[in-house]
Amino acid sequence: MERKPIAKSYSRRKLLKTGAGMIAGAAVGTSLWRDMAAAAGGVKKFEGVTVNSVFVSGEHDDTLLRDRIADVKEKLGINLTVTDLGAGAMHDKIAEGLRSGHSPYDVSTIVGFWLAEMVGPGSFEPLEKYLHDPSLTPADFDFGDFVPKHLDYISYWNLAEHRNGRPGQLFLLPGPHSDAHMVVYRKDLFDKYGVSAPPKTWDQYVQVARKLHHPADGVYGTAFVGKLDPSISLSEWGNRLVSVGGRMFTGSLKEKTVTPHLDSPESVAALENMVELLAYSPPGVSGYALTEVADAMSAGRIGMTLMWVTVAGRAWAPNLSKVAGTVGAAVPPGNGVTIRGGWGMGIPKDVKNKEAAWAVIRYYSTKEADKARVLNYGTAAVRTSTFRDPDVVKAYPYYPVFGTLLENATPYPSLPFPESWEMVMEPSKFWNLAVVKQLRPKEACQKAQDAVQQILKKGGWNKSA
Amino acid sequence: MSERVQARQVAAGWAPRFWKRLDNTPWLFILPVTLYLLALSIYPLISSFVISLHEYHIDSRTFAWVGWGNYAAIFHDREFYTALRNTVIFSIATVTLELGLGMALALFATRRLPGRSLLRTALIIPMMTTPMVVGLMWRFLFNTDFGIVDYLLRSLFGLPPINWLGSAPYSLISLIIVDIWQWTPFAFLILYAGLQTIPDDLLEAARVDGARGAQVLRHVIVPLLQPVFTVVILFRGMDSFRAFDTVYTLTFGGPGRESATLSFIAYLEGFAYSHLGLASAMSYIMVALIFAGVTAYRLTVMRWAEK
Repeated sequence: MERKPIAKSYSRRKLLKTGAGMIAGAAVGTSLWRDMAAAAGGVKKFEGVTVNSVFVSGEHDDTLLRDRIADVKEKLGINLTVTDLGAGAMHDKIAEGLRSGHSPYDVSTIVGFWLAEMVGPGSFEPLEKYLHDPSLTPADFDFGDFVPKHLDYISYWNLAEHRNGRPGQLFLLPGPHSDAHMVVYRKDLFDKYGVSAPPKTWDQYVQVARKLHHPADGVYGTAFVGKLDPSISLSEWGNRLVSVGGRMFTGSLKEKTVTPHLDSPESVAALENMVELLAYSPPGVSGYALTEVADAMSAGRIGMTLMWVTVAGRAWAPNLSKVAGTVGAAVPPGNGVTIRGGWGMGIPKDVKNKEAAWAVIRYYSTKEADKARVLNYGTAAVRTSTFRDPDVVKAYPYYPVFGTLLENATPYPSLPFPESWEMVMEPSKFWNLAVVKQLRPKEACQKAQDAVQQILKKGGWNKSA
Repeated sequence: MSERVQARQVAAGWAPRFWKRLDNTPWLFILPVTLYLLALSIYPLISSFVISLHEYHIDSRTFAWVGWGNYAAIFHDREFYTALRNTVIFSIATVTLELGLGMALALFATRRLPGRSLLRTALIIPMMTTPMVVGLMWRFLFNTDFGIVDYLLRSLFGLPPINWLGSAPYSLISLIIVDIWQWTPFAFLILYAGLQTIPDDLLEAARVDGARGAQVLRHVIVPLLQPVFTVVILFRGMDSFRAFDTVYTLTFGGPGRESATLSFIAYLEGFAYSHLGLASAMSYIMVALIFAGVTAYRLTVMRWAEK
């Protein structure tokens, strides 16, 4: 066999060309190999990429992910930062970032009543392409396991029709928690004071609170969000309204004929019920937000309360509650409809590392992560498999009740409006004034009606106003 | 300008001389700070004024021209006047009390007492604490159910529970107390430094002439500290007028808007509700009010003091 002569010398240009080619080849090869290896294992790594994430504080949404920052680094190569902010501060920071085109968080969590404002203008990245890319999402991710009602509530938005739900595009993955409301009560106090069953009507709710009210023994009948806080609208007034069939709006957004009904008899009754409960609540209840109510329940200072499930769950957690063994859960008074809540995780369009952000969202949305969140912190699950998990049902016996509540829950009525947050916050100040008895419930409802009317008029949602 | 004139000017060395003269001036030294001010102060000022003449549409993320509409809307809004009233009460109460307490502490600290250096250090701690921490700390202290403030008032004076943060007028009073706690040390530091500059001869001369403590204070110390008072009043006055962080963390303006300040309302409109035009207009009104306040102070109090 004739051998080809080996070139005796390289010109400088040839040497440079060959060297550059080898380096480029090695780089491409390494990257390809890493991608292929990652695809084989279902995980693409993002060595050295920083991902900033934000979650609402006080609801244990961030806790598990914060605990797993090192695991994220090991499995995904990502330098993860986890921030938690109060709902108001978080809204303002995300909204400001989207307006300016400089979103501070690659992973931004959004609650239902921010969808129209934040996702509606098309500021979030559609997630289907990430979900269906095998190098970014392993086959066993099981998207079909997410609770369908929560998916429709938080994940899908129809840009053309300005509404949530399917048909629509996938903008957020459900989580870290879904939500609805339930009544949490002390079974031991029910037995002690002869209360045979949880209340079925709001009048009964007041009567039960009265029976459980023994301040001399360090136990108040109930507590509720009385502070100027979004939850005074969402949890307190909103639940009392929808559970008796009351409506916040009628008319059509599309035809711009929306009419508010915050001065309806159902609305006034809802507020009167809250004011009536003041007599059986701790003296400082008008300064209570969600955290104070949840803490009072876990500390054994109140006999009963109405609460978001994800916050209520900690009353069952032995590491977080003094009354873990004695609490029970029930469907709230009324027709069994409560205000739906919960969050979704998405990626603002203006952030750089979208694939890495997706990797974090996917990591925190697995079945294992959902179950771990519930078992450790009593949060509200987003996956159907978690609802059926025997460990979860054993640790949190209310889960079957919660499943029914989640099925029947309804979004806060202002959800479709871009001004939704304002429609939550502005009435809150009048509910708060009624609770501190500076306004009578009827006056407060009238003022809230006028305020929302004004917002609708400004937004052009009521042509006749 | 004709080519012939240009050529003559160049020939006469006009252009080089101009640049030479410019080189000798401090313009180049001023340039960085001028650029800094243009970028970080002047441009935002002009930009926010332009925004104040527009309305932002949250759904389409666009601006529409409304002229003076935002300013008119603010002056027709009852909440603006509530916030203005709160801001004025807050500013006057905090500045007056901080000045008085700061002066008392400064006079106390000048005495040769054991542990006075420790006192000076301890006094400035509140000023160094971040506003969010201050807010959270006082939220616990003012808590009606388990806060120390209410506990002491109940056990020492037998007072009924007070809802400090959730009821009027206590919510505004709480904010004033917290501001005094945090910022009296500022007044103390400035006044203490001022006291150190008063020559001992003057004080001794006054005492030799028979002046007692209160007379020395009134006729020697206070007149000599006038410029220092001005610094404290202007700095703290402007700061109090912009009070926001403690309002946000402690009361969120509640109950209703009973403890809201102008800054808080501007924040809500701008950041929470995306009414950027309205918030900018409100900020301009605040600037005008501060300007008017400072001018009035200069024309009245300072002129009176000079006399």
